[in-house]
Amino acid sequence: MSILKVTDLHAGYGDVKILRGVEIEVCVDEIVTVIGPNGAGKSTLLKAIFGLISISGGRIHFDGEEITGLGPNLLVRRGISFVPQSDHVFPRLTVHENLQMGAFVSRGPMDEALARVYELFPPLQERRKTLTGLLSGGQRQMVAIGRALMLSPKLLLLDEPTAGLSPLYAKLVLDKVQEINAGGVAILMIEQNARAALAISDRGYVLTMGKNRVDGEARRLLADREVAELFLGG
Amino acid sequence: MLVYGIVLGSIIALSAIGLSLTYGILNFANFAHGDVLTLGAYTAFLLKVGLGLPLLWALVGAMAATALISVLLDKAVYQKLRTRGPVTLLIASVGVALILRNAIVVGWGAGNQYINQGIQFPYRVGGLLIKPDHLVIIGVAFTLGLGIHVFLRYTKLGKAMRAMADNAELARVTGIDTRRVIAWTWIIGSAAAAAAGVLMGLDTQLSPEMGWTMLLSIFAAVILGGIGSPYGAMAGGMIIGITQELSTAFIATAYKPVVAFVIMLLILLMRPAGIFNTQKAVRV
Repeated sequence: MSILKVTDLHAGYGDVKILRGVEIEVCVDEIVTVIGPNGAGKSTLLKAIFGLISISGGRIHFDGEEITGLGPNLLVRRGISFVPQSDHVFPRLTVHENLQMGAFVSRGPMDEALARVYELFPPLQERRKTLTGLLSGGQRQMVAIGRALMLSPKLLLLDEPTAGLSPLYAKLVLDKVQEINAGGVAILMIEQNARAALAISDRGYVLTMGKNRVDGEARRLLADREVAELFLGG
Repeated sequence: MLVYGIVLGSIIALSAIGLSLTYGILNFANFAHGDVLTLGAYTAFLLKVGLGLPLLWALVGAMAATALISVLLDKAVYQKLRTRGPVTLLIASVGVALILRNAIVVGWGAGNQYINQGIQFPYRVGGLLIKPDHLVIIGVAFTLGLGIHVFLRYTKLGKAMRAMADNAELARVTGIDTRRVIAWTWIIGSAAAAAAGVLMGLDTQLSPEMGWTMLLSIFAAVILGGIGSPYGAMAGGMIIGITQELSTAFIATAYKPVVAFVIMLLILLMRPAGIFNTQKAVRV
């Protein structure tokens, strides 16, 4: 069953068109990775889904309803969260406060959600009163993902979750992505670190020039000679 | 002299909080902030001397009225220009400043007004001479400063305000209601400025230029404390106030705003992110 369906999506910045008819589908419980060269429109795709840039054509359906053109404050209520690639934490807020901000739109108590995030990322529990700007890159990524999990989303959008991290942390983050997915959260992510990301994904899409190039089962993409040569660094 | 410094420092600190908040959250230097302070002082004057209300009610009324006017000004002027960038907003705020100042001249005349008439006899505390008004000023400024601290530190809205000052784009991604945060920024910032204006009027006299002349010192305090950081602004205000008053021992009183200017330049040259800068740690 599909949770997110993007049909013939066109979007860009002002007059510059980046996406020219992208088609993406994410099913419940799936991890889907989008790869492709720089400038293919991967980040733009996530921003368009999350209502951060205006869409000039196409439709987006989430959980059976159309969400085309809805803004982030409505989408987080419906169950989509987004973790941007950089500047994804509030550096002058403590770790705890960053997580609380993730549940800003909910009025109820957030203790359960906080407990869940701290259980997923134990190092954050120890550093809950530290200013987030003082943490290492890997720990900041944990805060960013934790913040996005505070409302128990059904779909998590991740823009290059391992960018700039040491190999050790990159592996940890991808392990955690799998763990989050196992808890029933569908995941759509973009990764430069394509091989490692596809290894934990169910399916993958290759975007070039704002269009779908290839898609299919992640295992099949990893084995595909052409994809490997062009997009996985040989 | 130290007492005078603390009095002036409290007033600057209180007004600097508002300027710093609007700078951090709305991302522009609000040149109308000084005249918002003047507006607050004159509203209190109207309530106290005109309607005969007690000082406390005049203060509360002035804060509420000024906050309301600021929210309306935001809707009428700034909201439409928000996407045009900081320079447009800055120039718009200069326009708002002139409108406010001249409206005050039209309403109350260009001369000086006094909230308190007559001469007060100072108390002698230890070796220090303290005027009752000064105790009121320090007390009110301290209470409001503490109130704003508690608000920013412990309430959801206060945290959202700091979050938005930190990273406005992420605040939007997180689902924070940015319009509500902006409205509260104006309310708190201008209410604090109004209170500072009232306290300043209590200390000396009212004139339509009082806020505008203070603006340099307020900016100096904000820059000293690190732009966009309300706590830095409080500390910066105290430092500027005390240094200005202490400097009168060495230079003519008329030149004391120069001290603020010199401090501001030194800070900009040596630590452009403010003395309490945490940016370096952030960029690791």
